[in-house]
Amino acid sequence: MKKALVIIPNVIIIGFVLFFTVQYTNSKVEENNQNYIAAYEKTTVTVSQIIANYLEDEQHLCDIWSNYVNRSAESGTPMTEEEAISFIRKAMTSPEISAHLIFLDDKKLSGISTTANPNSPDNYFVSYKNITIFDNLDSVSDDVGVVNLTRAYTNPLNGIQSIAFMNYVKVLDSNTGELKTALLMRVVPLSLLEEKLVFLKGEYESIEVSLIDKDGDYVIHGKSLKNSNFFEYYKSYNKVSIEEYERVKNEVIGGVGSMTILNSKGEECMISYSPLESLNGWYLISYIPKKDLVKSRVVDWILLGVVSVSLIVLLIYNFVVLMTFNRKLLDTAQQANQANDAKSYFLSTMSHDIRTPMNAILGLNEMVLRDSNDETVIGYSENIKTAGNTLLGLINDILDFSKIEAGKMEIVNVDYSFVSAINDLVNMVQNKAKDKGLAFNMDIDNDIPSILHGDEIRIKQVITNILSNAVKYTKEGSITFSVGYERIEEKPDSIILKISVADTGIGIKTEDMKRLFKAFERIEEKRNRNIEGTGLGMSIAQSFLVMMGSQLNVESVYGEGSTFSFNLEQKVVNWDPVGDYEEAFKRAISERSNYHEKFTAPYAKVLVVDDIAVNLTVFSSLLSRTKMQIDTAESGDEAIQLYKNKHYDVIFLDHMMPDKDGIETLAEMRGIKDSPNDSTPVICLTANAISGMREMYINAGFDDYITKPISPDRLEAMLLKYLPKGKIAPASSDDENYDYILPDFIFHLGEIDVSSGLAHCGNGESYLATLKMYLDTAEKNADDIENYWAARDVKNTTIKVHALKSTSRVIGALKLGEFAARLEKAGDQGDTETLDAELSDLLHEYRKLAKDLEPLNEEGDLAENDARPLITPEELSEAYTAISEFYSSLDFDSIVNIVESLKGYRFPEDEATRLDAIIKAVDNYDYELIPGIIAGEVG
Amino acid sequence: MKKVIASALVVCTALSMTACDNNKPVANNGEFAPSLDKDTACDITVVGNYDNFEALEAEFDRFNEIYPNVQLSYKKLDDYNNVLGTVLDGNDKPNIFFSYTWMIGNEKYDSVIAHTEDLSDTKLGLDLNCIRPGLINHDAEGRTLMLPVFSRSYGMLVNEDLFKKEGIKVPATWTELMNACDEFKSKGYDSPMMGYSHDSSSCFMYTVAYPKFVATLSENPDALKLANNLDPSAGEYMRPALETVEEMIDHGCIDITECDKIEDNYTQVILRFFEGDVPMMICAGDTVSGTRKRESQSEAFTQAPFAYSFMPIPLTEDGGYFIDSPSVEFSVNKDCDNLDMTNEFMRFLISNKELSEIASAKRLISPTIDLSVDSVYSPFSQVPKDRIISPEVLGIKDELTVQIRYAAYGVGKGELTIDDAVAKYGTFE
Repeated sequence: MKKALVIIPNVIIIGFVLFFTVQYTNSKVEENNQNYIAAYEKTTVTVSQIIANYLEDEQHLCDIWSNYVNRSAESGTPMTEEEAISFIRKAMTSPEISAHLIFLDDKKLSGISTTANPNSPDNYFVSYKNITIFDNLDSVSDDVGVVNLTRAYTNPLNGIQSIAFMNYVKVLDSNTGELKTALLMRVVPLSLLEEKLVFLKGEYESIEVSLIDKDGDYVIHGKSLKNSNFFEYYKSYNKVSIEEYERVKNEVIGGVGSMTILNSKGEECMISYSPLESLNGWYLISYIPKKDLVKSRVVDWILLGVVSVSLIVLLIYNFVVLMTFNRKLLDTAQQANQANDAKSYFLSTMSHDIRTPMNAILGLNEMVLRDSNDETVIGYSENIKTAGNTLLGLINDILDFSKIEAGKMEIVNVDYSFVSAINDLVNMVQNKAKDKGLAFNMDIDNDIPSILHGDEIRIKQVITNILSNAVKYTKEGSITFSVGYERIEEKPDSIILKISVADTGIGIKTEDMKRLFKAFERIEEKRNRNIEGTGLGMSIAQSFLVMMGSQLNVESVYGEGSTFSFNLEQKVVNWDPVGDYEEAFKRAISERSNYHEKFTAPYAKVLVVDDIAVNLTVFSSLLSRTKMQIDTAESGDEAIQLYKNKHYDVIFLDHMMPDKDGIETLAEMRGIKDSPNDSTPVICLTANAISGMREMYINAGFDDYITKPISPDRLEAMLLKYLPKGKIAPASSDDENYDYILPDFIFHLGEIDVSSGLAHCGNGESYLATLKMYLDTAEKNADDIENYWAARDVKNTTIKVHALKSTSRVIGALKLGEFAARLEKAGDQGDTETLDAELSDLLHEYRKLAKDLEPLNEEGDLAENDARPLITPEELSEAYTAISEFYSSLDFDSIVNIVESLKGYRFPEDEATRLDAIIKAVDNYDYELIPGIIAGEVG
Repeated sequence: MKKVIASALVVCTALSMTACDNNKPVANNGEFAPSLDKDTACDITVVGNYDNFEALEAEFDRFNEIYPNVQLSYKKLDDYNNVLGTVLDGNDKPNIFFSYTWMIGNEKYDSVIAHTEDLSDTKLGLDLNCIRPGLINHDAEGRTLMLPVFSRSYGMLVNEDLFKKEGIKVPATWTELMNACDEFKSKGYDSPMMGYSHDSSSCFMYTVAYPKFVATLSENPDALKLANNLDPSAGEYMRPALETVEEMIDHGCIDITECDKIEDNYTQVILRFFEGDVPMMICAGDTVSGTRKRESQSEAFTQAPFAYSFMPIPLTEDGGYFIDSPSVEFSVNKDCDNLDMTNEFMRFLISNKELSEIASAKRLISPTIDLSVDSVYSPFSQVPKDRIISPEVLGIKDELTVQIRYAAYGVGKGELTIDDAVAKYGTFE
């Protein structure tokens, strides 16, 4: 498992949990804050009530004084200003509080105080001339409960910041004897008011309380609230619009509330405001830095930290645990992969190892089929062929399935003939159907384009599977194979092939449908136990179709039959219609007969290389009726030696060989300069029947490849393709003898057209005899012509030239024949000039040809001799010892190699018998007989 | 790395030891270095007659960054001049108070002066060198009882963008001023120069006449003496100043009728200037202090802001005068509680950096030699030394200023002829 798959979800979950925690914490904090703010507002209201009460009390005391003075006036005994002050002085209880009696009609706004000027103990004069605190005197009232209060100001008498409660009083003017109105002020130091706020400190350490009037001017001024006016202060440090500023102003003087503002340092702080009841236009503002009001946030951060750390620890723990499991899983996966590799290796090996003996079985069986005239034997042989092909099919299925499972199956699209593909399919199935007594119907659209582009092999495999199944599971009735097509509007160069196979078989139960495409599942196993198969066919077919962008559809009625169908998009290479396929097929069937070689090529030379001797035998046997000259080699090195020295028309080279495999051997061959086989096609023999192999072999330098077991038809088709056309002759009749071998040099003589000669002579032996005769008589004939012409005997000269013309044409010396014909004509016409001029040239050509043919005499001599060296007793002893040792170690391959190498020697007559016995034992796989055969000798 | 740290420590140690030799630590690069325990907790009160002194409160905040437990507050005293003495004698003694040079020698303020500390005492470690010498007052005994926090001058606000727009050069001489006015008038500006003219207090006539009168007196010590003594014969020395006022009006530089529409000598002056159609607004530096705050209050300026500066009025062919007077001065109450911390605050405040900051915040002219902090006042830094006149150093008395103020106002308003005004010198109240 990738680390990211563990880490990313964990990190996301941690992120989510943290996000949730933060959100939740923040909402709780916000909730707490709201509670704190509510409590803070409540405190503000309480404080405002306390202050209001205090102010009311102070006003009440002022009222008492003024009432007393005014009652005196009302009762007809008004007090003079001195008497009033004197009375108040006596009534006062606090030395800090004083009373000023101010005459407002005095320009200097002066009067007398209960306390003396600090600098002049006898001076009680006080003037408010320069202090503007009497702007709102109109509102001063005697009503109970109404507080008549000045703003905070500097007491002109003592310089102390104070506030004053006011009432009008009537006093007697001692000078005029008249009553006049004066303003009685109860002057209270601001510090006394501030003291009332001290108790708040316990609850809110950093709270600052200010009082403002309706204009925002401070009466009492907390230190953090700068400026002389709260609203100016707000505007200075909070960048707000004029509208917002007005809104804040109205809110603060509009009732109880709170808001967050920035202080002069740009920090958030909370202000709460409340009007002072009974005071018109005074408001209490409490200020506190926001961080001090919402301390609980610290606890929340701890929570957040603990949660974060816990989650991270959990993540690490999870990660470690998962990584441990991961490692174990990785080990297990490695083991599984190794097991899978072993399986793949096994399958691959099995493919090769099973196919190799299968090649022998099917190949030799094919020989039996060809050569036997015994109907019983042929029947057995046919059964072997059927069983062998079935076994090959099973192996192919397993191989394909393992490839699909490993994801290594590839779709290889090639151009293919649609008719050819259908032919192969029908050929394969039609006989099976016929054997079971089933009608095989075809419905092939005549207009299907002839050449398509797609993976022909896989398409055929899919249809084969379906058709085979149809035959397998149908006891009676018919199988209908339909192929239609339709064009694709969007893709004018493609069509959709519509393929279906309908049978009247046992059908499939609805509940079994879903198991149909499962590997190794066989529906109704009990009922179908006699039907062979791996249970992979449908699974493979479906897999191939999916890879090709299609899928297999099944319609079935249990007991009535099934229809398997699929649509497949294929590119069109050639739009020519296939025509009436069924008609053509029927005709072909009627013309079909038992095996007969397609051609003969007695002068063609073929080299076959395979490390398994029996394969060589099979190969040679399969082609025996073509009369070709087949050389064999059992190793790459041996093949290379032959390659260097002898010309071949086609070379078949096995891929999988010990020491040098086919590819290495080919590479070495192609590296040889001036070889007689520079342009010889080399075809790969392989047991690897896996798709994509063709490309691999072509890339490796092979001209083509053919799979084992070798299909005789395919092999002959391939030879027809690669053999020189001049060496291909029509297939022979059964009684003809083609085993006469023409010397190779004849094919290289430029003057002779061998095929023409063969055509004239009928067969090789006759041809060779004719050639020899031509050679033997050549010198005498040449001399005769020369002599006749020397004697100017035109007639005999012409007769001799005529004979030369005829014999030359018979052996295929066509140019010489033509030359002679021309001079013959000249002779007939008495054209001595021409004869004079050209006869000597003709004779020169004639003699040259004769000379070129002289090796014919030598060939005859060589053929009679065995050129192999006689084996020495030491070599023989060494070979027997080696065979014994290899037998002890059960290394039969090495035994085969030694035996093959011994074939390169001549043997003394007594040993030849023993060796034949050994060869026979090896060929018959009777290895256990070998020690006994050798024992007599060695022992 | 270790070597570097070790070297740094050695240097630090050496510097610390050097600092110990002086009375007060002096930090490198002019930064303030505290000399008291930073945890000291105490209260310091500054009293004055400003309703509002946010610039000083900003200084409190900065000082609190060093001494967080020092509670500093500013209090406005009603009837300041009369109450100050009482307050200083009372129980609730302020630590620092506004003071004025005219208090020195005035018997009424003897008790006030008696409380003041000599700020030139080297033990205090105040950096007096950062202040323009002409602004520092020394009493008869050579003491410095007060130090300027702001300075005051006279001049005109210039709408620089308007000059650029009309392609007119900002005038540097009297002739250029007259020409500029002519050009503006030709472009439809009825009153190229404006100012407050409702009453004599801060009226533009005074702002024009005072610098020239002081300049005239500075050249003639005898005349100064006569003028200070309100000798009627000194009236003649006002003539050049009054003629300047009259010529400015007669030339059409100023339309009095337009000026009379400005209802107060502070906010309305600024807001009228911010309307954007006044090339030059004659006013005192104190008025300029209100410009920054009112930029946002002026709808016209918000919609069409422009660059402006404050410069001396070019009253002569050699340019204008920089009349350099202290505005607000601070004195330390030597009898207050926490005198050490009070002096520490003064040492903090009396520095080029902090004085520039507080002046910039208040938008007043800084008393420091360096005037570069606020670009609005930068033209004053370009005035040659010989044209910088300090009335305090010269010995100009307040009574004298009253005479020129009324005389100029009367002449400007057409209520007095120049001859009448000259003749009435010493009689204006």
